[in-house]
Amino acid sequence: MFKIDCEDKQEARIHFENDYRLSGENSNTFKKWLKGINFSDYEAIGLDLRNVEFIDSMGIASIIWLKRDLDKRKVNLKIINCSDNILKILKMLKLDSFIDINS
Amino acid sequence: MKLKMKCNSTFEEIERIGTEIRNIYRKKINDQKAFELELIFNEICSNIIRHGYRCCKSGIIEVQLDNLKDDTVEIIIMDSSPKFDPINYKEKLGEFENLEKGGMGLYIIKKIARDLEYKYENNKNIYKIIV
Repeated sequence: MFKIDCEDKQEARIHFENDYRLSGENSNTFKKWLKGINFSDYEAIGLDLRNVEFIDSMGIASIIWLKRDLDKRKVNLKIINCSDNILKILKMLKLDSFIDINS
Repeated sequence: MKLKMKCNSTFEEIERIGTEIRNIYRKKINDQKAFELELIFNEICSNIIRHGYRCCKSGIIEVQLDNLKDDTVEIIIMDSSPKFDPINYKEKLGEFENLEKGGMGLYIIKKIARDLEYKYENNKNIYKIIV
């Protein structure tokens, strides 16, 4: 469902499987998966939403949880490749004030 | 033409109906409208399941969709869980610190909806939303 790739020690990228729905129970599964990763090993994380076709408030809450966790570890988070529909919702919630977002 | 659907109060069911709504309105109107309709349906039904039916899977959720003029859509969602008026619920959002604490779903609904009406009638919560 998700995987983390790291070309170098500095930046890792989190990917989702095709047509992934970051909503409802999937968000809890994603959060549990995140809790098993030692992010302190990295300097920055790119959350690649290229394959995420739907997100809801529970999915957004899991991203906010990740941002808080990475802030504690002084690791940067960047959201990349998100669709126009998802970008609109993230901006509506003013997440772009707290997280670097590139569509 | 009105579209009527009914489902049980499970996340699997709302995902199935939500995807169906999105596929229908993607063709009928456009992708953005279809995404917004699915999101509103999903957020209201998630609240009904979690806070209304308290994750009891035998609750019933009914949904009706109707195309109005100028590509607007009326969506009516009904359930028989305890009374909950979303209009008078005050979300405390706007600050990053508050975003994860709850109320985000209702905030999204109120931001996307052109109009949101609520009534409690015949032991049913009835949400009417114009998108």
